[in-house]
Amino acid sequence: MKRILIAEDESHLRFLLEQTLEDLTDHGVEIESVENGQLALESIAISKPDILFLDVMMPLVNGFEVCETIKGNDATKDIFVIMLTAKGQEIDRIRGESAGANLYLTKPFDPYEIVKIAARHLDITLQD
Amino acid sequence: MPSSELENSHSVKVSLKYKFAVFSTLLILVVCFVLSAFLIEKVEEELKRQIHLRGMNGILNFAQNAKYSITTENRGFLRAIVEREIMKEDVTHVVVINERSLYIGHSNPQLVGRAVEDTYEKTLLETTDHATVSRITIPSGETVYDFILPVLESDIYTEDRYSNPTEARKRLPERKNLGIIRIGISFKKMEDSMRKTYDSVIYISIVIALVSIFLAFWYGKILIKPLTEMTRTANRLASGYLDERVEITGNDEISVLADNFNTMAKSLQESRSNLWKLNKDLEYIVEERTAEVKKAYEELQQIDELKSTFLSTVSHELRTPLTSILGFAKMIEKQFHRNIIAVLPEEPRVQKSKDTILTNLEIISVESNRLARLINDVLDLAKIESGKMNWQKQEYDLVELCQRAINNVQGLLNQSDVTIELRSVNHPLRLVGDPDRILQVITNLLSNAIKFTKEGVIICCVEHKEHYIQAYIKDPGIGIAEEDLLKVFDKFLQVGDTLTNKPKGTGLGLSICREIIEFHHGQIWADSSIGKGSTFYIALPIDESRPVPSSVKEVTFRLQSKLERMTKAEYVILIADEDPEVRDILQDSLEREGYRTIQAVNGKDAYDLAMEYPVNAILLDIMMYEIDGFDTPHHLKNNPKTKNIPIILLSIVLDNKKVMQLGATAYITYPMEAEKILNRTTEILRNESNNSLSNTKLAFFGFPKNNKNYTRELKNMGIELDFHDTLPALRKAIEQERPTILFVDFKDSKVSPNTFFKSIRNESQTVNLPVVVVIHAEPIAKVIDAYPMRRIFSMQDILGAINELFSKGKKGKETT
Repeated sequence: MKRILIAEDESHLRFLLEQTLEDLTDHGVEIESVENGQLALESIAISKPDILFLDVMMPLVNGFEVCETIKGNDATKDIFVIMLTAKGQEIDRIRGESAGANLYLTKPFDPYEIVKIAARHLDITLQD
Repeated sequence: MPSSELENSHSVKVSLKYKFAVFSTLLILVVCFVLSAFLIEKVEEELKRQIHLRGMNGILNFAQNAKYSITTENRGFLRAIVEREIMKEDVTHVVVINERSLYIGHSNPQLVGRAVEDTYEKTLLETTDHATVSRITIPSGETVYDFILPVLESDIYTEDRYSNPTEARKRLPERKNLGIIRIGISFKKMEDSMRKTYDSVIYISIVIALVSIFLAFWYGKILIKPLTEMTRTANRLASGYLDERVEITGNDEISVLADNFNTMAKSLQESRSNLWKLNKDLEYIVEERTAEVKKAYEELQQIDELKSTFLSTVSHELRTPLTSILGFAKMIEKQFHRNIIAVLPEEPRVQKSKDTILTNLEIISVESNRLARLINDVLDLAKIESGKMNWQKQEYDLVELCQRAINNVQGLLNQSDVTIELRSVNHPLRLVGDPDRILQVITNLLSNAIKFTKEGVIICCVEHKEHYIQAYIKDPGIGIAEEDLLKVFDKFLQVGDTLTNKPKGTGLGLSICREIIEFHHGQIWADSSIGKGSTFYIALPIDESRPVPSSVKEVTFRLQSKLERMTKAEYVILIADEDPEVRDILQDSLEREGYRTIQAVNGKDAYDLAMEYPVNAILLDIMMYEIDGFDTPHHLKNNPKTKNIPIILLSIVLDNKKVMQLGATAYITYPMEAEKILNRTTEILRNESNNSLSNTKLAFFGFPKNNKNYTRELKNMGIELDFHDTLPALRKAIEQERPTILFVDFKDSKVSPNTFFKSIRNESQTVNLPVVVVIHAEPIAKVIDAYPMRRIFSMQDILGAINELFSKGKKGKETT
């Protein structure tokens, strides 16, 4: 069972990501979403996702910290981390990359792009 | 303040006192000397007069008494008068000699009656005919005046002889000395008193001089004293002791001067104190203002910081809802397409509503994207302006960037009749900077150009200038009014009628472009005219330490306005070709077109003429360089005076006549065909001894190897064909293969006809080798526009190139 975890504090965006990735559930992908970094880490501890959509600015534990924790642990470091941020600054991109993020996407993102990336990573061929 | 230093700098070198004293002394000495000399001269003169008077009177009186006694030799009487004479205090001797040289009277009585033995007295008797006087020294050592008077025969009878001797002598020319009277008179006393007088005069003079010198020094000192005082005071004043004053009383000029001096010093002191006060005030004000400015600057910095933070925060905050809007619009669209459209009833009202919903969703997407771009632009600008931009620094190729920018905007072109043409040199133009940002600029300029152009070609050109690389993007779009040209780089400004025809955009693009280019020490500017399109220029320095001067903009504008003003007849074109016929043909054609021409006979001549005359373009025969070795294009491009003149490189205009002149055996007209080749070959073979076609070997020089429609036909006839591209290869082949005929096409060959024939005809093996040259239907004029390189093949094209060169300026769109 393939698994995608979404960590995003904005409920609308969480909802949007869930909807966007909905098509993948037909291919046996489980999608879970949490609203802060703390919950994300807890969820990962229970069940390791294949892909983690990670917002940078989140309460309790921010995205950079979550990413660093995941990438610093041998058990979880192979999770494909896609960071989502409203910050377009180079310095954030560099920080995200140094935290070990696999991809760094700036908001607003194209939903189709998100699906394509996820599908490609999970080796799923979509119809349209 | 070290006053001694200042006194040194203003010290008196030679005191006025000494000058005065020395001058006065000299004056007094001169006066004393002149007066003494005059006095002595006068006294001496008087003395001489007195001596003469005394002596003459004495001797004449004596002669009056004695003259008869001389003839009668009355010695007794003579002795009496001699004694009487000698009795006189000053008379030293009295001598009377008669005509027989006997002393008949003498102050020494013992000598009377004796003959004269003294030679001096003997000669006197013979030579003296009038009264004389001379200074002699007598045996006692005394200097006396010796008065001598001859007693003449006439004297006896003429009473007036002594009163008027000259008259008497005239009347009695025959003279006879009856005797000589000699009286010595001593003027010792007189001379002594004389000498005393001299001494007195000299002593008095010396005393006067000494006293005068002393007085001169003393008075000089008194006279100078106030001046010395003033000098001292002035020095003290100069040293900064402004309360110093001169203390001089009196009523002469110096005291007036001193008074004025004191007044001046006082006003100086006052001015100084005022100045000091003002200075203090000013310092205070400056300090105050500096503090204010500093405060204001700090506030401004804070505000600027706030603004940047605000902008970036707002932008961030805007992104999240924007993501939702855009994302949900897409989701709705997807769901709508996937699940709703299929089940909609066919009712027209519902179908129309469906279309409206899809259109509206599209609008939401487009507008969201626009908002996203605006946010990006605002963030970019805020970052650049606050200095928070993270600039990369690496080497990049501007030509490649332009190509990438063109690729980036291809998507925008699909909907329109616009194409983009990249014009540049074939090699990379390397610069150092942030390639992503420069790419952003070029992409922005290109998308602007596309935005404002309905149809036509947008030209993206990259040129290597002297110290910088210039790129321009020229569109045939709606253009910009002149008054808006400078404003286009301002924030949130889109020129033109924005109400009726508002293109998509944020209005920040060009501001960002300017910030980026200026960060790279470059320049960005625009040139345009309404309805004719716009050209946006960027100039980036090759060496960052040498920024592109802002004057490059002016140069571009000036060049254009100058070209605009010019008419064709004002364009002077220099034709440089060694062949007079070619020159004449070119001149003819160009003058018919309305250009003025100058002819140059060789490369050096062309260079000299270009230096001397205002030439607008140069048509240069490339072969001249090969012949005389003078690299004309190089020289022209390296001279600041000529480097901006466009050069069009011509190769040769080949015609049948010229071909034969060069050394060809025959010619063949383009295009090549098997039949034509055979005809030429048989023609040539007929003149040769062996005329068998089957043994014929044909060599080809300058032809492409493939795609020969004639090769197979010829091969089928048993003819050997041999193709070569370089001279060494050809020469080797000739040596080994011994071809029958050589065919040459110079059109695409790198070897010039001159070089080729020189090489072929100067070798014994090939001197008689038949050579057939391909003549192209149009005269071959291989014209290479040096910057950028281009080939043109006809006279029409030469004219076209030149017309294009100058019509650019006329239209005001492009620069040369």
